[in-house]
Amino acid sequence: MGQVIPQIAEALQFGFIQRALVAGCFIGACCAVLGVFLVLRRLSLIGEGLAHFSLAPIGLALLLGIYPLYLAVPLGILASFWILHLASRAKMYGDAAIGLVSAIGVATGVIMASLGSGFNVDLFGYLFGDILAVSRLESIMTIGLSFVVLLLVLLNFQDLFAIAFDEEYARVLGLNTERTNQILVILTTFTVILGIKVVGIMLVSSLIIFPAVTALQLSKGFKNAIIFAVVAAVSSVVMGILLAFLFDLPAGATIVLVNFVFFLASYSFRIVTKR
Amino acid sequence: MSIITVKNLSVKMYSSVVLSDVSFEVKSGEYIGIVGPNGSGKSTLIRTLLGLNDIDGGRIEIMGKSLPQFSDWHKIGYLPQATVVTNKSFPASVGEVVATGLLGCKSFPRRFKKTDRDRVLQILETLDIAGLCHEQIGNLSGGQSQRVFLARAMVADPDILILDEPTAALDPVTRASFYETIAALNQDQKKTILLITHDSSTIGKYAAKLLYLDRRLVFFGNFQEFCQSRDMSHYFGDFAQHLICHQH
Repeated sequence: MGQVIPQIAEALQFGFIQRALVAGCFIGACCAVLGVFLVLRRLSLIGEGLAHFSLAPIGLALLLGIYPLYLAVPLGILASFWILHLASRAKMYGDAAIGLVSAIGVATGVIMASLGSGFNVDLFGYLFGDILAVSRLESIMTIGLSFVVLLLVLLNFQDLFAIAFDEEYARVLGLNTERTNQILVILTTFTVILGIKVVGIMLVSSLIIFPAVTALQLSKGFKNAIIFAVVAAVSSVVMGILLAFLFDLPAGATIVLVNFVFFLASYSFRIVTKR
Repeated sequence: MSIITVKNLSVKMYSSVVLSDVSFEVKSGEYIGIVGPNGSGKSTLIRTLLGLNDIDGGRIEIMGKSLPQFSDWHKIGYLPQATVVTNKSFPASVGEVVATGLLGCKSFPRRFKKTDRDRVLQILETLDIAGLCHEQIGNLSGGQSQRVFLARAMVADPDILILDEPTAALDPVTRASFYETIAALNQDQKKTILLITHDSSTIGKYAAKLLYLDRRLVFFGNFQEFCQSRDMSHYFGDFAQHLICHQH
């Protein structure tokens, strides 16, 4: 223990650790806030679907030699609208729509990877995340986009809550549920694509699901649930990055496992206190 | 003055006709009991009034405006059929759920003020459930949930209350108390009430008019007309018709 604190202090001196912590905390907070809405609406796998779909634009961007997020964001938004369209208009169950879109993305991404075998190492970074390699520009972009995501959630908070609780009643109240759903999936797309840098395509949905389900074990009120989720997400990002640095582990996977430990703790607390 | 006008309304669901050529008018302050067998289109009728179903023929006017133009949704309170919270772990307090009933009269970005929180407390006190304000919504009994969702429907002080089988899950004592609460809203606050029920005999005690649906409008009128209707004695049988008239 005596050696750990100096090592952490030393780690915090490094620019790449500072950037990873700042970017990770902002992305974690966005994932946590959106995660509460998505989990309660049983839409949490949309994060998984969009992340898997993003393999296609990332693969295409690497093949064309352009910055992957420039393609991943717009095509991800199109994919999210496609999921909404399939689920509402094509009379397809939501999980089937997510599975279909995600499979198309993965298949296209694999073909891109086989066409451009030289960039497989870069693709590996997107599959499993590389938060410690976040550049200064990426961390600034992450902070900016996170502010936009959190501001839009704040402005639409009551609509999102009303729809999460009872979508039909929200329609009776005259709320524009279709527009609010579109805002939710656009914000989720932004957040998922930013989250890919932290934990990778394979694990990004865990950033959405874990903090939300951890908070739902403990909270009675909705605002408390959001606050608990953000605290769990930010704590797990900080602890995950520092543990990864101390024990030379992959940061993304460590963050996910710290999240799992938090979930186990909150679940046990709920069982013991019979809440 | 008519607060709701329905003219030649037809509604199809998955290409089968659920309502055909239904016409009636509801005047402000009336208490209408909507009855009919299962699958007769009662819920479809009120869901169509609330803009939740598409119209295949005819027209609906609410407060003088045709349905597509109507935007004062906060003037209509709705208590849905299923008021049992299926997601028991949903992290919402009773106060938070009731407050959503005020969102219809707020413009973007919707925010609650102290007056809104006071209004929520006031309506909870009126319905004798102020003690539940901070309780998690999933922890309530069926009767408590029913009152909470009634509070949500009433919190914006609507002119019209639409209730879809509100007493189906209640025990007889709670059911009687619920009917008394609705009757008081109609008599004291002059709210227009549309209440769907299978409880034809009890509704006879409270409603001023009955609307009987069987995919078409079979009967719409007051109890004097109901008691003399041969159509209704055909549907209910002479004894049941007599019982309902006696309750009224």
